Amino acid sequence: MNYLFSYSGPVSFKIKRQLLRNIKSGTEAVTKSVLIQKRIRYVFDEILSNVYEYYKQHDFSNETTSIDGYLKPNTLEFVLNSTVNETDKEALKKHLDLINSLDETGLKNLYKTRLEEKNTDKVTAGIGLISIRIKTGNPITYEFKKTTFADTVQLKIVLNLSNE
Amino acid sequence: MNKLILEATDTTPKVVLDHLENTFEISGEASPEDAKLFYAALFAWIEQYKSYLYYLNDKGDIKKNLVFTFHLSYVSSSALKYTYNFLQHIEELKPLCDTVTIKWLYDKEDTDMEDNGKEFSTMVKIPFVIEPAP
Repeated sequence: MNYLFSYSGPVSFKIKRQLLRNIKSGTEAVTKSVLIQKRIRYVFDEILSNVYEYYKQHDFSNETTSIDGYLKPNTLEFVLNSTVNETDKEALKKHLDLINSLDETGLKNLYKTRLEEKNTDKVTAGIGLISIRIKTGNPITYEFKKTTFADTVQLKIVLNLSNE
Repeated sequence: MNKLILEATDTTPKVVLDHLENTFEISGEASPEDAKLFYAALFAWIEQYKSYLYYLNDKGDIKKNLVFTFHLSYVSSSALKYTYNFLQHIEELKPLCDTVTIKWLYDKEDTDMEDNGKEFSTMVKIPFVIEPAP
């Protein structure tokens, strides 16, 4: 298995910035396309931002998160494992099921609707996942897990490495 | 009122909101740690500018032609939401000006940023010029 990146540990804005710097040269080696390089960065950036914003809200700052990028023929698979509150699982599942069920037009309409919503603080996390769906064109698969220490969610996002 | 000039950092764009030179530009990366805080300064400035334009109109000055140029190389989702809010603020300047135009530039090949401009052009009632950056 080829990894473009692999990280496990705490997540913060500073750590995310450092990780983005670390993966830059690897990303440039994988694809010459500026668009695809930006999409790799975008997916990485958005999913980690969602995690640390969520952790901040729930005082999970010491929780461990893992993010791995597996290189496969013509695709990069992001695998994220992070902690999620039992009470938030249903809302996350509902959101992911909705965006996975929509076609491109439906996703763009939902994206616009969310942008137009007034409560900016509440909606930005949802927008990130919608735009990831639009940019990758692939469903976001997920699995909720229960360990001795925490409830977790695993997200898998597949990004095509060739321009459409 | 004062102009607002912010130098670019590796997570925030360069901002030039200069009413004296009639130059309004936002360029670079937009992925601030706290997008709400960063954009608050821009919203405050545009509210002041709106008052300033009211004052000019009252004085009977000739109405201005405004062009707001955006050339963003990268935008996080939270910054994109606030960019939309900023465009809504710009839209409110329309009755106080002769024309208001958004010039939306994108890096060659960055069709995602081009699409952002196209989406925004349908969401606010301001003419957009969307083109690759020179």
